[in-house]
Amino acid sequence: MFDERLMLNRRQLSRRDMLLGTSTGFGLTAFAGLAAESPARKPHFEPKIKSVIFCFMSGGVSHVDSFDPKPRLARDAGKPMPMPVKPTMFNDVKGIMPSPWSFKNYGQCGMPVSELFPHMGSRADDLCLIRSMTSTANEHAQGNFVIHTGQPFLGFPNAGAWINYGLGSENRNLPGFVVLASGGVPLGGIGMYGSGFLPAEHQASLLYPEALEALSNIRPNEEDREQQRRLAFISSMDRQFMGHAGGGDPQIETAIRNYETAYRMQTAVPELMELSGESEATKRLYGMDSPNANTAAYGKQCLLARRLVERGVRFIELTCLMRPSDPGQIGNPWDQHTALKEGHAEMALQVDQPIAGLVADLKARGLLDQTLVIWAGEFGRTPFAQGANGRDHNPSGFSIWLAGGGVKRGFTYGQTDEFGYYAVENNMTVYDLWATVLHLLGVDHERLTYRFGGRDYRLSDVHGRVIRDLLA
Amino acid sequence: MLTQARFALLLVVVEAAAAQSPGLEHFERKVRPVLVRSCQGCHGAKIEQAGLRLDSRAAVLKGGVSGPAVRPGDPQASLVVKAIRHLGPRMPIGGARLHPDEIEAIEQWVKNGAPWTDEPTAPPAGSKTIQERTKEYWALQPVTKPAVPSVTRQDWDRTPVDAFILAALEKSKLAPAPRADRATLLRRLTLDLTGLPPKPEELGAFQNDKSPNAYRHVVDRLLESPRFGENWARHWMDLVRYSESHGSQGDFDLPYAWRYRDYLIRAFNQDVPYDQLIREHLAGDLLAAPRINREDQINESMLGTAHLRMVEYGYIPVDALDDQLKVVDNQIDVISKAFQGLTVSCARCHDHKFDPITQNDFYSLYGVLASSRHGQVVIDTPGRLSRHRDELARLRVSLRGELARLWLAAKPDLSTELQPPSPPAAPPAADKKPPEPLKPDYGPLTLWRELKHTTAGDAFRAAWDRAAAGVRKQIADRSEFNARGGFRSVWNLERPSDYNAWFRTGNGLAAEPSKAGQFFVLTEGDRAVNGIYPAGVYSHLLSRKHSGVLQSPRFQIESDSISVRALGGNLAWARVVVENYALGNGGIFPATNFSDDTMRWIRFDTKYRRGSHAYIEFVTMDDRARTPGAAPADGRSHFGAAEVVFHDSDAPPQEEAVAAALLLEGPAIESLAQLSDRYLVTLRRCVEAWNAGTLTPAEAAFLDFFVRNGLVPNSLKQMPAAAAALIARYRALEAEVPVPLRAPGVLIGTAFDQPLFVRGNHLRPGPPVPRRYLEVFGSQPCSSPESGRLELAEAIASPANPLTARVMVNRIWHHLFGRGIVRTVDNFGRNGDRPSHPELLDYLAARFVEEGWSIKSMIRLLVTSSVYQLSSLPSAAAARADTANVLLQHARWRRLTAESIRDSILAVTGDLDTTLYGPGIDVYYTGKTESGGKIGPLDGARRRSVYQRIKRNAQNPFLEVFDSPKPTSTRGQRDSTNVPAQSLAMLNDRFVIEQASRWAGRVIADGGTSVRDRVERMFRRALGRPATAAEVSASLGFLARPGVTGTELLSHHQAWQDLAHSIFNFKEFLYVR
Repeated sequence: MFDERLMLNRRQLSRRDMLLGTSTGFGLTAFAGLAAESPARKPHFEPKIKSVIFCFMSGGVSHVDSFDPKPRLARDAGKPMPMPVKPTMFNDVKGIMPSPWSFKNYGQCGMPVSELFPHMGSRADDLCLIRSMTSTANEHAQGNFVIHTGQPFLGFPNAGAWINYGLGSENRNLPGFVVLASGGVPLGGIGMYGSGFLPAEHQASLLYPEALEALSNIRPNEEDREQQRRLAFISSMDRQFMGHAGGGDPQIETAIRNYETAYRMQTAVPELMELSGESEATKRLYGMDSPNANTAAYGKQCLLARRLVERGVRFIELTCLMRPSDPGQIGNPWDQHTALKEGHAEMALQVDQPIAGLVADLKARGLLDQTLVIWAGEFGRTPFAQGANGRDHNPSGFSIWLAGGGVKRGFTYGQTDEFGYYAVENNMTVYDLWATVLHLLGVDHERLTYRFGGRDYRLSDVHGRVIRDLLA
Repeated sequence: MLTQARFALLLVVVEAAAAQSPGLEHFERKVRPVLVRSCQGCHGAKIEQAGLRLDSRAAVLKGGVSGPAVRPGDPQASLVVKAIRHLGPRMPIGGARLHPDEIEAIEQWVKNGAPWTDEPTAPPAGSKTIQERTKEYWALQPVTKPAVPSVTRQDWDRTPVDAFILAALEKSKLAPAPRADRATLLRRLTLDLTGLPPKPEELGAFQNDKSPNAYRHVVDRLLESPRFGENWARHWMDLVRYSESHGSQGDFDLPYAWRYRDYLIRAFNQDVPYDQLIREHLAGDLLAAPRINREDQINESMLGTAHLRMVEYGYIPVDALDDQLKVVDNQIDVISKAFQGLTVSCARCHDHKFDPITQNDFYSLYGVLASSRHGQVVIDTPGRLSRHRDELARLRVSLRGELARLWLAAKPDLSTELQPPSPPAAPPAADKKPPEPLKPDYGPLTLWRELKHTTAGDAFRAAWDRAAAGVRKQIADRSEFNARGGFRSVWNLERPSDYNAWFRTGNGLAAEPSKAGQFFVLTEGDRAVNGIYPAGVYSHLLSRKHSGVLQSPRFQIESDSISVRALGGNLAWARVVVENYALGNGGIFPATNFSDDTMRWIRFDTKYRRGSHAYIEFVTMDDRARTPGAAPADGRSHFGAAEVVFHDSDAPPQEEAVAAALLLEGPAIESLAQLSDRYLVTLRRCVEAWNAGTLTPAEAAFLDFFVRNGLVPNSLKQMPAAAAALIARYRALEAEVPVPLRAPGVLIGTAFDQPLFVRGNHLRPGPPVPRRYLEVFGSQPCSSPESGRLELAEAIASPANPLTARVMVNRIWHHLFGRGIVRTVDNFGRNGDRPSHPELLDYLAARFVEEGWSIKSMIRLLVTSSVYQLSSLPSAAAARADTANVLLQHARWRRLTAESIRDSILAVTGDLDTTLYGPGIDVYYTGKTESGGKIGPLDGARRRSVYQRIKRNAQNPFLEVFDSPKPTSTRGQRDSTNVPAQSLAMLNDRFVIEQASRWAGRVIADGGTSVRDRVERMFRRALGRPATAAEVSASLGFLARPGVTGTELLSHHQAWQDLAHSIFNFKEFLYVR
């Protein structure tokens, strides 16, 4: 409960102690309160990682222009596809289109990466590349829901919510599932970050790195002293009420303790967002000094992601910023149905250095072993042209990569056909991806269930295998 | 395909097969899934590449162009094995090479002799026993009315309900808690019934009412309050996942969805019997005696089906059938959970694992629902719709006579008046491809233009012959083009038999098609009429405000193109609606917005959709299932339609009526003067035919040209007084014609039996399943040629249905006691909870039906019970023996719903605007959303939360923090989470702070000279009880600030705002006990 003693304690506490929130009775009380609502579960087995950072490339990155070189496209440029072409969104199927970019082999492993991503290429030896990813949806909203929740519609929990539900957060002063929302909300809407049928406490909190108020309602409207006075008053009235109501109810106790957590979050969140303690070298590593505002902003998200990992947050998702040259595509900036070359170049410039910087920084600080970075869009793009110079959606085979604890490094898994149209070897599904991520977190995807509407649901639905070939 | 949710129950079928033979088990487990996933896409029912199908044993043995695919027992000789081993043809073409385990499995299967299980058409034998067994399940037993138990304690029970509760308590040796005090009781009752806290004067009245019926009076007052309907409608909205948009990319609005919300509020306030509500929800459009709201002149029953439209659609789905499956699945899920507490949607892939619901049940319901189409319905009463109808029709006839007289006398001076017409507007593109090339103009002026500079004599004669030959050649060319084009005329809507085979609604469409010669009176501007139409069907002959929906029967697309001969304006549209996908508006879902009032051919490219089921529709702007972006506000829109042809060529047919041909009749023309006369003669002939109702197509085209181009008097300035008066009168009456009120609903279409999708996979259709309700209730296939919705409604609304009443009384109980007698309110199946008080549940269900399914009577019964009026204080014994309070020894604490929290704040500050009904108020938000639409006012226009607009992708963030549900499926029991984000919202949200400030303003303005007095009033207002002395003194301490005197404090806004803000944060404010 909130009382004067706690306020004294608070003044005496160092900031760090407060943020960790476990070194005092204060934090423990809050923890117990939350735990009563959602027991933090133990992993099923020894975890390899503690946190996941999801760099979501909304709109769909072209794999044949990034991580899956296909010389046949140049050879057969302009010819029709020699295999059945699935229905496309725009029904505007043109000939085979070569990649406008050349590829170069990187690192000890010799992984070919296109010149779109020189910085990521330089981290090739840290990447676990999957070239046989598939999805079941061919449009953005459904594709976004599929890759985030396993199902094509609203109403199912995001992977981050599942993980938060399964493991809880290590930091009670910060939400366990954070979306850094410098960019736009992907098509399909904010419900994609929701907890579906899981209790709402597991849904994502949106942090706005560029906003005055980084988290909804986190900025008190009054001086700290005033707020403390109010909290003490509210708390004393609640206690009196509980007294004459005959002892009250456990939910009320929890509600009272939530005010303590909320109070501390008001400090923890601004402290998290405060980057003045980071060195200029670090900021440069993330591209925060870039003259390109989007690169700098994406870099800030990456740096915040590292800081969130340091604070024990389980699942962090980053958002791509819209391209100034096409503000219409706020939710799907990678979606180049036309002018692929210009659009992808602009987007790669935004994310390449920051994400490579994030991997490098995590590694340098010894955090990469306990973190998994996932780089993926909702689907890839067609090897044939749409119109003159664009590519349509292709969920039948595309590339994503992982980097971090428990997975192989400098490793390539699966392949698409010689045109990059269909995955043809070691095809991987969204369910396989999350089953594998859960495995790395020490969770058996078949045992992480929640009963709703008469059925036990899983993140991997009734599918999914841990892809052991990827494990280090 | 593995895309489907709810695929989990596959094992039932597999196990049934396994029971038969290990070879079959191997086939089911290891082989069939591979064939389905990797082969049947090209070698199956839809496509037979190389003449080969791999979806039955017979087909496999027969093989394709290369011979049998399998030689049983001999893998080496089997083509299938060679192909997947990439020895010879490499299969699957363009797909993943099969996994070595899969290749091995197929080889093994061939070795086994290629055994094959036929698809189960009936439930597997084993499940019959499950069914028999589950029929004994409690929830499916008929409801009988148990006797009220006798209890030892005699002074406690007021209602039969109490006897059931007390009997259980006594069995556990527990005594019920004492009665709650009046203030607590009033707050509980007022919040439960209306969602708002009691007003101080209501508390005073109740405290001072010494009559034994004081409590009953309060109950009656609250049940009569309009606020009751608002609160209970919101509960209902959770069941039907009420939403005003469709979600997914774009989050398109569902036009006029809010009218359904208002319908619910009225229904709950008027205590419409529950069985009637069910009938309206499933078949309100089909009821023989619909419920008429005389005050608003609307047919209430029509509004019930709107919830069927509150589905989430994919965005331009490539696979429209897949999307339909998801949509119908959701409808079935909601209907079965909301009305029956059953999870029928679990049976999409095969028989329900726990409940006696078969896969056939799912597809029988699928047929019922998919046989109805998604569209807008008109809810006005016939009286309102036919306003001025007869007089407008009479005026039109008179006007035609007047105009004919005028036009017969007209002598258009061709030499000066005839200007070459401006080229007709390009036909609207049916899709994003370039429009069809314009045809050369063979209108009436063709000859005039060719000849007007020719001098008389031989030269003229030769020129005439040339021009005439040109016209004749044009006629022959068009006729030949149409003959060669492979056009199959499927519907000629000029024929009554074809027209009547279509489905139509709306007051604009007549019972019969129109002959040539129709027109409409322009309602503004200088022109009298628009033109003269050819034969066809028109939505607007009396008024363009009239509604019109004209839809073809369902058919399978088997041509690359479909062309329609049609016209329209003001965003009316024509579409090929593919697999009921309601949002298609172009591109891979063919559609066109009309902006051209001349009948012409419009081609839709349907190649992409070959094989799909579809229907064609013509609808006016406001009848569209999807709102046009910028709709004109006057509600005027129209269309006309004449013919539909299917063809594979990529140009539509050509118009065969050539107006210029009329001029060729008679002797050859030898001079311009003769030609001018020929024009005049022809014009008169056309006007006479028009007035006589005998226009030929060419005559109609000829006259139309003269009218549209002002070659006959069509300007009001040119009209004689009689005609001008007719038009003025017409316009005055037409202005009074009401725009029909639209609402979401469903429309009658071709009824069909849905083929079962084997394992829920829409690419594997099995045998059609007759439309009916669940087998477990003994439902018979639907005997009428209609969808079966009416039969479905009757089956659910029947007193004999064991679930309907039980589920509903349990929901009411849940809302009043915080927990259902069956805790899982949406699941009465075996996976749900069993009832804590089964006899009580049955007693209530029986009584509910006896009392005419009255929801208010049931609520009155429950809230007047002793058990409802218990204090929330548990006895020591109860706290020990029944920690979860299942036995209801005392009242449960409950957090207010999100809406109640927001509404309570508004009520307490005095800001609440209790206006009923109307379009949703835009949501206020500062964070990011996807297509969230306009940002609304911070205070939500001070209206109750039930009036907040609900966009699927951008819901009210304040309400969401307190668990307002996502509109995805039935949510009879909300989450009641308890998280720091709620504290942050109550502490820092701008809405809360702004309201605290307004309350402070009112407290100061209301005056009062005593700080203490004000504090006491604030407590009474917010918490519904007097403040204790300790609370008053603590509040005074909180209000006090250094250097502020007592008098100054009276007008110190910040101090009072701080107190107001704090009170909002009291747990007592946020909870009810």
